[in-house]
Amino acid sequence: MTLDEELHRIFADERLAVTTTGEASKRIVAGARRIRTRRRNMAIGASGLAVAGVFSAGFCLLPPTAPNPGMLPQALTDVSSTAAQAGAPRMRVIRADGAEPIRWGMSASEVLGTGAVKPVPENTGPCYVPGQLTTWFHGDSGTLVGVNSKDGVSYIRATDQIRTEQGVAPGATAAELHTAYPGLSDQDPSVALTPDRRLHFEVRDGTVSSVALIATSLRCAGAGKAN
Amino acid sequence: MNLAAMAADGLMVVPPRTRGRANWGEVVGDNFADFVHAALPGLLRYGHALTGNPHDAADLVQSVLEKVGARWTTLLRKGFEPHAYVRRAMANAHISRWRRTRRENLVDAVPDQQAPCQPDRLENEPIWQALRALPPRQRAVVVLRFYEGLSETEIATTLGISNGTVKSQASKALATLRTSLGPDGEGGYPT
Repeated sequence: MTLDEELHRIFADERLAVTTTGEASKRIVAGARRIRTRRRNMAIGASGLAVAGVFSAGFCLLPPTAPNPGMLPQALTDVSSTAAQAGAPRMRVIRADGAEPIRWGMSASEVLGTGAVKPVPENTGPCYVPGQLTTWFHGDSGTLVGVNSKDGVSYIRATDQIRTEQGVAPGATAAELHTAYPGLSDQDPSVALTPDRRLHFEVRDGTVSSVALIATSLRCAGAGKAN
Repeated sequence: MNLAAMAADGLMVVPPRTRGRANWGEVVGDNFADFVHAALPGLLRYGHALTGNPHDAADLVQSVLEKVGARWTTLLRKGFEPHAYVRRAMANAHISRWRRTRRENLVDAVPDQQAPCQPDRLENEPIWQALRALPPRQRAVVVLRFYEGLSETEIATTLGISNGTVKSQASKALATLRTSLGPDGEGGYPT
């Protein structure tokens, strides 16, 4: 058999088929609708600012038309969650090993090297570890990253463009949060991902406002309190 | 919805492709949901050929279709043929994604929780393993030529590269495949 014939054979092989969950098409359509809605809202926001500038009048953004932008569909197939997380416009996934491009344990210079964040003026942040220096960085989508001198990145929080592996993103309702994470405490809505880090949800007025991955060694004030 | 029903709803049924070309499933209309429903199996299969594994294929198809769907009406109004547009976007997105993430692949960082993972059923095929080892652009050229049956010019248009680059990439890819699979007469493939 020639190489050409062998290539035709392998590309005609029925094992090349990829099985999907029954809801795959619906998830894609919902995802497209979400992107379209976000773009439309951004366009409306931009034009609204221009109008406000001219007429000095208030402007109210239209609410998203999607049922709830905070609850995201699961991955296309059961296996796709292991694949690369690239794709700039895609919503980042926060996992036990971080949220791309910020990885858990990165040093301050590595965090800066990603180009995704800048140092917080006066280095103020919500958490600390006794006896260690924690350096704080902030970026787009309400991203806040804490890097302590001993363990590297120990705190990652975002208020937009991020979701958990269970599909919870800022904007999800408390009910959706509890459905995704049964047994979650209202007083401290946190889930242990590993023995030394947890996922913390800040809930305001019945809506998830931020998602954070926090080292259990951190002592935090207010939301995200660890100790 | 079957083909007849789609036709009745004003959707266009595309004639079967010429010999040697992939069968895309063949429903094109102004409804994005119908397009996804009809094209998804073919796109996933194409994505599997492009990326070399079903996981990346699923992610690639999902990300590209979501972006395409967000601009669906505009694309149709501008006269783009959806299947061609999507597979061009998939090929380019895959190559771009590899450029962005190849450094990450060198990092030894094991996720704390492994998601359920189904093995690639083609894992034991030497030709498949050799294809997977090709750089993404070379693999894309091979896929477009042997999976889709596109001409050199069509491949060049699809990937936004010159005919000469298509030729050189195909030549390198086939040479690598021949080398990987062994010399002629010893399980290898004659030219």
